[in-house]
Amino acid sequence: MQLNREELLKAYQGMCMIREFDDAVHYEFAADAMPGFVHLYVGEEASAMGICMNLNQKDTIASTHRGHGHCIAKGCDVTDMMKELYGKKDGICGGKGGSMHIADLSKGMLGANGIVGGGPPIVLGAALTYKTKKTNNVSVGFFGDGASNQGSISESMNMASVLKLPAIFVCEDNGYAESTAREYAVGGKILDRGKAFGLDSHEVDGDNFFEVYETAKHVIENARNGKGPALLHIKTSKVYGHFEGDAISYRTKEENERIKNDEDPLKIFKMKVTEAGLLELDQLEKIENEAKAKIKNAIDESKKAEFPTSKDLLTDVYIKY
Amino acid sequence: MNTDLKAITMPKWGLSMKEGSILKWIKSNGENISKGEMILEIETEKVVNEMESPEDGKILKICANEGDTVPVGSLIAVCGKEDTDDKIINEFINEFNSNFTPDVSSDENEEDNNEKIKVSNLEINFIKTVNSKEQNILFIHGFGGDLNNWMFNQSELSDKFNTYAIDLPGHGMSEKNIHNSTLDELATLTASFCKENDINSINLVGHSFGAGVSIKTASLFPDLINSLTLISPIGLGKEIDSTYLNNFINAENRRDLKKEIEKLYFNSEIITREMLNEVLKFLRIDNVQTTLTKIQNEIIINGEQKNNLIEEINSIKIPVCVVWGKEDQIIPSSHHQVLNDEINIIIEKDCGHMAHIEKPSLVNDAISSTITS
Amino acid sequence: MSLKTYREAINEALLQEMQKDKNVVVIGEDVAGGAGTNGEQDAWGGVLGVTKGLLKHFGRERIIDTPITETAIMGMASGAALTGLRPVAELMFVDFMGVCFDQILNQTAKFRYMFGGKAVTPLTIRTMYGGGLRAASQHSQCLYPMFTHVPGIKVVLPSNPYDAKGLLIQSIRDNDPVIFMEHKNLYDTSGDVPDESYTIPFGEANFTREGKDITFIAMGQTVEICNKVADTLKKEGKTSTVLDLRTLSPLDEDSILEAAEETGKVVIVDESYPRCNIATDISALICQNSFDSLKAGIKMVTPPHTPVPFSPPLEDLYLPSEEKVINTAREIL
Repeated sequence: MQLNREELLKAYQGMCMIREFDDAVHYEFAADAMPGFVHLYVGEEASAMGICMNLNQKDTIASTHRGHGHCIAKGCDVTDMMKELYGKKDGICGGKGGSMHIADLSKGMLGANGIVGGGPPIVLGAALTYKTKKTNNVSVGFFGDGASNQGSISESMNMASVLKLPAIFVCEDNGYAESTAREYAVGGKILDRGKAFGLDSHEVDGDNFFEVYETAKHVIENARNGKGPALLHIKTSKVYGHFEGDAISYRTKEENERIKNDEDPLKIFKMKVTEAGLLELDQLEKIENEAKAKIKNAIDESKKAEFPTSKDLLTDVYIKY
Repeated sequence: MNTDLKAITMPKWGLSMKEGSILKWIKSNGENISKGEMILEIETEKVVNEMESPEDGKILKICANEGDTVPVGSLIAVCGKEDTDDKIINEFINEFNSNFTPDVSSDENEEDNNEKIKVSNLEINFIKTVNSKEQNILFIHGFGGDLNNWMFNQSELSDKFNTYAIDLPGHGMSEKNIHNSTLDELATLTASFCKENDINSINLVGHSFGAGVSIKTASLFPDLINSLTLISPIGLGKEIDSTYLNNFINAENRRDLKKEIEKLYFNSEIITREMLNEVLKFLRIDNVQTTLTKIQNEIIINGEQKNNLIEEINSIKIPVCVVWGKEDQIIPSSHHQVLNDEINIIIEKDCGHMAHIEKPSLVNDAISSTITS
Repeated sequence: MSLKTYREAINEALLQEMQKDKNVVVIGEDVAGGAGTNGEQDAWGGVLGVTKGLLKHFGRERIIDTPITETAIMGMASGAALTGLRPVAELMFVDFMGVCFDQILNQTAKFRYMFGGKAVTPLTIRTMYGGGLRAASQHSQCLYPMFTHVPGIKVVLPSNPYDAKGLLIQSIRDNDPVIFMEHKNLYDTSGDVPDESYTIPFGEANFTREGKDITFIAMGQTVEICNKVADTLKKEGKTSTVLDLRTLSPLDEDSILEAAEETGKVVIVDESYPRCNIATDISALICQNSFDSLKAGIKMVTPPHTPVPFSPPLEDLYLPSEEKVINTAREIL
């Protein structure tokens, strides 16, 4: 295992923060305290952290509608994110974006995306910038198994391959496109689609942080070295439904239980690192408690924060008009 | 031909003008007219302006009606001293028309008249009319202007003189990216321009900042300069509307610019959107605003004129004429008081900073008589 | 200053801006042409030759030929703009917006707003539009009202070579996303264009004629139609004001009202489909603000509400023409 103690702690901190953030949003939303639509990432944390721990601040990612995990993994401030979810003026996007459009360009986070398959074409552009300016950076585009059927994904993989761009495509396959099963909606194999376009393509167990991390490390290093794009097909599962309020009647009780108990990437991580004696249980619990406290504080602050006013209605459309 | 009758013809305003349209007759058949009085409005591709009567007398017959577009030089009216029989007028018209051939040279190449020459390491654009006349004139425009400012003067005077009009560095079609723009440097450039064109003796006609360049050239190169005609010159006092220059440089749109350009004229109705567009086109070329700012800094310091040319102009030994619009809002005409008795001073009423455009025949007469005096 | 075609003016703007700023790249299908072939490189220089010759100055690193993949082109250009390049992406025919509109409508146009004012997206999309080339329903549309409808992008319609160069340089230097629309019929028209680089600010309509009797409001190719009509009417003793909108977003509302009030009689000539187009929008603007100065009902000359036909006589019947404009003008003169 290549990760040192500090990195392992960081990985767990990140995953816990994502978990606590989206669990908290789950309860806040159910209590009718939060406006809009939210899509939660609980159960997929190893993917975001496993990928983003291989990125530096100048590398970029483009995310999906289920974007909170990617944002946190890429370094966005959780309090600012939470304020954004509440539609507050000093939210991370000034209350103009909400859950599906969280972005922090200074952290290399090019935006969650309300359009399924919307992010990967943008990643091409970031990758083109790095190639043109010869900066050795990479850009990562996340999408789901549902988006894998959008033309934009195929076009993006082809373009990246043709121009040999430092772009990594990450398909987070949680088995469901809204309420429709992957088995129904995906013709052939997602992995084969990457291979067909000439991408270095790998299937990864998304419940296992270490597998994600190692595979991502390999393809990202290659991309930095001019060896072109790659596809990671990450098999994962989400605890909650497509959006908050989804009764998930399309999944069986057994499946729900299995996802919670057997496929939880945090539990698996915790088990692996304690069994191998890399980290102590009390250290991990301390991290969990810190994350809980941080998120509780973020919610308290968000509730107290001010809403935007009429002064903010017309701003931020153009730089000059 | 009946010598009592005179032809009023479509004027040539600018060397590229091929035809003009009659917008409006201010005077009508039978009305008395006097020289210099506005008699009709004419529109060309570039400008709408009133035409001054070239004669004293009476309009006997209007030959081109409102809405007509006719070639330069064609007969637009017949005037005479007194009422004349229609038959004689018609004979005059027929004779004129049978002798008249419009200039049919291709109008495709409108810019053909422009020439470029490398002077002091800068590409300088100019227009010349050289017909082996005895005397040469060089027109030097003012700040923010270009050689087209002389459209009512250059072609008019080209009958009697070889004429040259230049675009100063940073202006018109001359090089925009310049480093130096002091009066001394521009005077040297003017002298080099003459040398490059094999001119040993020249009469300078300068407007405003260009008049400053002219004075400096005459002072530094006395052997080269035969006479000076100066219109609203800089350098004769401290006062100047410094906000004009600044607002002109930084005008972002037609409306902003119009407020400034209006200050140049006594009769601001002469300003068309087309004129403003031409200025905006110039201002929007890369580096022009920076260059104009450099030149502005050579004209103004702390809101007052930077150059004092009083001693230089008063010690010049050649004929000098100064023409000033009484209502000049940019540089006050009262500055003429510092001039010595040798200098011919013309203060024109109902005229602003642009006498050569607002009162062209006055200015053209002044130029001619200064050269020949 | 020299005589240049609309095509040359656009090419020169690209050349000069690419020389000035190494972050400017051109992206599109066959913008050079011949990629991967054994034959001529720069074989096309754009489907109508507008980008021809740029390849030899900047190489394939900056003149980027892509597969036929409009979504990826628009996405790539948007992402590149968001991360530090200043791309000029070509959407060969505006009709193809159908296959890539998401990247323009939902991504580029909204980055700045959705991200709370932090995004800077200096993207220029060049595209061809308009009828007259017998190119039928999928290669002849105008569609500029659809872009004008979307907040966050700017819409530019140069009507002549001078404007084409100045507005394209402005588009490239502008830090907001711009769609720069070139009428195919204008490529071979020529006019005086300065050799230097220059800009024309957005939101400034241009008066191409000034008159007292009637006002024509036009955009893109219809400007020249209106200029010719104005010149014909002048021979009949009627003078016209012609306003070239130049940019549809931002729209120079002040000049529109000024032009309308100048004569009180307004004809708007718009080549786009008649429902919810620029003519209807401007008409509403004038009615809301200058109703009292109108001396007649506002007239519009537009195509009928049909796709663009192929057959030459049908297309001629479809498009706004000098004849249609002058007849419409006479109804209110």
